Amino acid sequence: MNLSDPPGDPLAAYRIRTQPWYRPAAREVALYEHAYAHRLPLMLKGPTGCGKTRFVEYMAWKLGRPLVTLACNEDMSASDLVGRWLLDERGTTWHDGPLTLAVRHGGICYLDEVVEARQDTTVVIHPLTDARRMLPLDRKGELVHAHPDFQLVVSYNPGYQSRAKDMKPSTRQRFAALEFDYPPEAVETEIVAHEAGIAPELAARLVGIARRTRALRERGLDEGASTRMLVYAGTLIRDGVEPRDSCDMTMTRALTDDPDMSAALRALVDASFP
Amino acid sequence: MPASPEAPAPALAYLLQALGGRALQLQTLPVGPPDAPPARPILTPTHLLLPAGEGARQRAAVAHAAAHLLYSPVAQASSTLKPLAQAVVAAVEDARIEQLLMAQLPGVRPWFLAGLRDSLQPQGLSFAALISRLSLALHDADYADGNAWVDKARTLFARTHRDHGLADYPAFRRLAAVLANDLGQMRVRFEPQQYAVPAAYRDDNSYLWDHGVARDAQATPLQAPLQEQLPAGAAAAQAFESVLAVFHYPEWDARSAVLRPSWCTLYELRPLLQTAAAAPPARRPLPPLHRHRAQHGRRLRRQWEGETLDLDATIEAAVERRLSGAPSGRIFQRPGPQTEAPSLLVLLDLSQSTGARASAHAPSLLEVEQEAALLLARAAQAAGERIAIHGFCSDTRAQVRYHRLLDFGEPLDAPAEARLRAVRPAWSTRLGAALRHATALLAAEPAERRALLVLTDGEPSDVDVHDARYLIADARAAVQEATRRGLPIFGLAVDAGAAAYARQIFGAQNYRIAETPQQLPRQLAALHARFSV
Repeated sequence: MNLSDPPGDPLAAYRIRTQPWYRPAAREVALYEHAYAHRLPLMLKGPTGCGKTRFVEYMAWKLGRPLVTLACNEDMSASDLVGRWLLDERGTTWHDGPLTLAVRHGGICYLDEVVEARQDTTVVIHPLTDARRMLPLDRKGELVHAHPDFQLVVSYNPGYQSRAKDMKPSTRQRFAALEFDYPPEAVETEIVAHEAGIAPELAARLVGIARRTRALRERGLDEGASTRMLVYAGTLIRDGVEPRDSCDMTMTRALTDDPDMSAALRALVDASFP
Repeated sequence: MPASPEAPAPALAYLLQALGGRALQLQTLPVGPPDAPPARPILTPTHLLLPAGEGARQRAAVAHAAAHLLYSPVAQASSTLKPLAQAVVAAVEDARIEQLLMAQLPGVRPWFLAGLRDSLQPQGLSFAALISRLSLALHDADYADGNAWVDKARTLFARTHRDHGLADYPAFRRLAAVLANDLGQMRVRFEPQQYAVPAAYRDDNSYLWDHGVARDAQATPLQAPLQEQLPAGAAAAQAFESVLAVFHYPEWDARSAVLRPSWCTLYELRPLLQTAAAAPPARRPLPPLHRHRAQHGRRLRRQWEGETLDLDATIEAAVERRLSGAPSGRIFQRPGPQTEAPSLLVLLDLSQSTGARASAHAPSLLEVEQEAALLLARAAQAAGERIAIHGFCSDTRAQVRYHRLLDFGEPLDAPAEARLRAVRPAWSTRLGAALRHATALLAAEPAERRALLVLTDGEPSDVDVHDARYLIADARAAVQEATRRGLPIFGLAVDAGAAAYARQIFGAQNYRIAETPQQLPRQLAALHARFSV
């Protein structure tokens, strides 16, 4: 793709056409709108599978902006974000990376699990996240000024921070933050029932199991069962899988390898179904 | 190393936490005299003591205890009730709380019913038999009893349930009073000394009652409180050691589930050699190896994708195309994964028991530990890894002694070897504080892959703690804390009976047991290999 030739909307593929289902747990929607009005970079914190990604999709839809999502990983390089030279029959051509696309054409760029990326990679977002709002493409020798609609959103899970995987203070201080947690019991039940398409009573049972596993978080489990896990479990049950098998598959085995903890979780699941 | 009584499976403790929402300590109840009534679980606000038994019964016992924790009022004054009335109130309360739990968790119904059917004395008219019939009748609508008292109880219970709801404790207590009164009219004999709750999974209900001081002392088998002891006679051993620094560490008290702040005092020591080189020469520690590696970071060439073009490959590809061949698309280069040197901290148990010898000529465990640690250190340093060897012993919480025998980056030269060999066994094993200190030192290491390896000869113990489980729980807390920080801890126990506590402390995957000191070097090498892959 060349700079001069984008007919129409280069971010068309990133637009969200249908409304994602999102059940607000608190005032996060209004707070996000305020942050977006001023194009503040946002950081979403919260445990695995509590609804961070869904929330961003919903907000992008609500604000009518394309959403460019990038799942960060350790091997991700700065070029994966900003773009690189590629070779074709005429020679080399520059290819915008996802971040550059969003910056140039005005999308919301969402870096999921940003701490998984190496710290030297995340530094490229610094000039975008202060008053300058620009992205230097040093390999190309271009300075891209951010489109007025552009916003940067990152997410991460503070649960399993280690010294090796944390954001530099200079990076984290550039963000306003929204903290997420698993929603209150009634709300979570509603979410699981809706997403998995199951009866509220069954959803309540699953939520009961999850809340009890979260009590074990400090005592041998790294994390309790997430809302997403419950949706998986519910989906399989709706499909006709026996509830105990479904929970074993989506929760017990996914949560732990420890035989004692597995035995305890299995007993907990057994206790929860008639 | 005292053999610990068989501990209940950790799974039961997890289950109790998950069901009851509270962290209680689980213990196995010692076997009582043969003429005593059969043992029943004992629940206190901090402990659940379970008689030995098969898994299904223990699972039901845990669920029943969780129901008490969730729904029962604790320590009601018992003075106004006769023993028979207490037992009836307790039986009704057991049924009430189990039904509350079953409403939440329907899967526990079969657990309870199995226990109740096991203990049923179908036609019996003794007090225990009637209670066993009552208990099953209240839960199982299909059970036909026929006894007038049991049927009345069933009707009244259903009515109270309907009119007041299960949460109304006073209403059920009134119901129990009526039933107890009936039993009195029926002249049913009750012998408190011989009575045990019929269902084996149900606790003795001492949790419900406050009998006043006199009976309480014998009813709750709790350990004596920690005795404070001051450090004694530490000066003698210090003649050849210099204190580098003093630290304070918290300790996890599992009984009250609090982290006692600054509970242990830890002295960091450096053995001084009496030989000519008395003061260790000021030496410059070797810089961490991985820094070098990072600077000369390997670049992978001729890749399908990468950050930059690999110029040579690009030109080749261009030439190839001009010659109308099929150029390879592998023209990029990118930084390769950095193979970082790991850092390993080996923590040696220096307690008195490691000095014991099997025979006069056999090496003591400590000597085996020292040799094995030296071998490991040589191998690790040769492989470019950073290794430290530290040791610890303790004399009450006021004095945990931590020896930095070989530090990270320090070359393993003759003085270092001599220092390692010079250390002598003494005192006890307060593992938790030593682990916390070792974790703090290891956390300061720049490497990404770091691990702590603990060599010990027995479960943690110290003279001011009478319950070994307390120190095990504390050590476990320290291990979990370190694991959360990304610092895995592996244990190597030279103790054939170590499985129970080593598993509790280090976790199922993270310990190895050497049955004899002779196996130690090989096990150590195996653990090291696993960690440094």
